[in-house]
Amino acid sequence: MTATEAALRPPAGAGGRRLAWRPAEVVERMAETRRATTLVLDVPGWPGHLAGQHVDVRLTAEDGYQAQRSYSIASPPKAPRLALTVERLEGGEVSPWLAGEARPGDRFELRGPIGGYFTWSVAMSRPLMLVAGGSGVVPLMAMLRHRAASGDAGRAVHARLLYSARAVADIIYHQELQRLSVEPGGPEINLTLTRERPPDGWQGFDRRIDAPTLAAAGVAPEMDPDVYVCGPTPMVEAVANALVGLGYEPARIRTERFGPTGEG
Amino acid sequence: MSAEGERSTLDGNAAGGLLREVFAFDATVAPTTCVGCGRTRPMAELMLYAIELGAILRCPSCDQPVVRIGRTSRGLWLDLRGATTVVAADPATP
Repeated sequence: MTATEAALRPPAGAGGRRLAWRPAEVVERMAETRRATTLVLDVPGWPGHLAGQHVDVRLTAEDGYQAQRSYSIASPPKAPRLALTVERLEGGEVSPWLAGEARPGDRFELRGPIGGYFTWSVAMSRPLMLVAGGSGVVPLMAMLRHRAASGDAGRAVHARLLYSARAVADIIYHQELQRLSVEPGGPEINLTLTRERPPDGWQGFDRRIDAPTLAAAGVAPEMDPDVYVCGPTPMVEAVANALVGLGYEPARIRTERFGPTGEG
Repeated sequence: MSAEGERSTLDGNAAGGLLREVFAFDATVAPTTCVGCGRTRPMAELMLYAIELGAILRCPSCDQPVVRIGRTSRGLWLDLRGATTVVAADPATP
């Protein structure tokens, strides 16, 4: 790309021209949980992205049949490689291959970055409140990684994550979250388990995220935080309603719903 | 893929790629007014039904289909009868 082309190119995440499908090659895979896998990708010409954006992935079978799904980006904006974390959904057309079969050297197509709504940047500077259910933590992790990679500007942003998982073994990025939380200026991480009885010594919650949980673990509404909620539809709707009831500014609450049912 | 009539499990965020095939701007952030109830919200907050052969984006308040996109052999087909207005937000404005 020449300097002129670079200058004419719209900024990452902005609107503008149509998105091209690009070849992506798997360079590394990491098991996150029983069902979630991170794929680190080489995507030539990737234009960069904002924390919270996603990509469309397209798989093409030998007979030409194509299946397409949307996945959140897990890597922060300036990471050298694009990373997706994919949860395997039973009966899905795309996620079983991505999460279970894809190996280094395998290729597929993707387009992106997509979506300017569920995005966050340290430049927004207000306190950051993240609420995740299940694999809804993925775009929120990109935000926490972006914050962690932003030095003093990141540490200046008060940040809390409240993350609900069915069981300890289902907590994606568990070690990294613990590590981030003990760093100086790190985010406050609160976990809650919804199905499994918590193990001895558990310091988190053991219930679905409700108004009392949000009041205990969230950034206070008086601090006027930017709030991001991502998870399954019933969780997102319950949390969004509870937040409004607690006095959070509705215009600052951004939601992203994903569905295990029939998708994947 | 969810069929119409089933409960939506996704929202307009997941239709962002398809919307970029139709609109010259990022429609997920575009304030869109529902013809059914008059509420205005970005397309990202609409409920998404079906995606492979197109998309139906419904109002989460009144269930009105607001944006309908079909993929046909002749191209993409857009039905905006459910939207009173769609505001193409300036991409430079966050």
